[in-house]
Amino acid sequence: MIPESVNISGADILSLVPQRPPMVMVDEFGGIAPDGRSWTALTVREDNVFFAGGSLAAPGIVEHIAQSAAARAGFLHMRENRPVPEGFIASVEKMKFSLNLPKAGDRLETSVEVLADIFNMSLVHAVCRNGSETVAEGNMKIYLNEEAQEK
Amino acid sequence: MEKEEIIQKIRETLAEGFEVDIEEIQPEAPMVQTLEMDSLDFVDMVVLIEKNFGFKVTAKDFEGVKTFSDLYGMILSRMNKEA
Repeated sequence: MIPESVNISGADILSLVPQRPPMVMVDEFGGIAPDGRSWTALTVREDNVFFAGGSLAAPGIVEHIAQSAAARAGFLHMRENRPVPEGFIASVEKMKFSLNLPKAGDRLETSVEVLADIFNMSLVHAVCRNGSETVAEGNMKIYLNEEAQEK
Repeated sequence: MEKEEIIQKIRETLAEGFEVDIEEIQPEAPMVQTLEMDSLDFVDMVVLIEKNFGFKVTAKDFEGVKTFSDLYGMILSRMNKEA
């Protein structure tokens, strides 16, 4: 049994998300807190595929949040010895971004809370911070394609 | 809360959440078509039900729910079980 408080990073993060480099947008997973929120992190690098004009573009932050939710689902599946499902962004709702987009070397820390889930669809609320500043906050619907993995 | 009060609260919750005229929410009206729901909207309905009626909704709860009358029955049944 993997404890709720963990630290999965480096190549091990690939066990939680279906993406592969250079599309991997989380580099650390810190487990799930007693209140149900999971924690992930990403250090922004200039060679990130979403890095443009000296900062991480907003679509990169959206992808980081989606993969943060995927890592949470992957962790829960891995704990139950089930295959890690593919996840698809179904919608982005009420998402607000800071005008100060993250620069190279900044470290994003993101919490994800599942508000509801049904029929393989999850509604999550995510808060993405860069130090003390909130760089993005909002809701996302994510579809988990579990059947394809379990066939 | 009485049964009729709960049904009225369900109607008001759905009318506001799905932005439809409350008069369209009639017992025998088809729920999905009336609310113009797609698969993404079910998760919104789950949030509305859990927030307003205080129980955890599962996919099994929606089995056989076609009309608003079916939905009222499901919510009333679950609320009785939780009480």
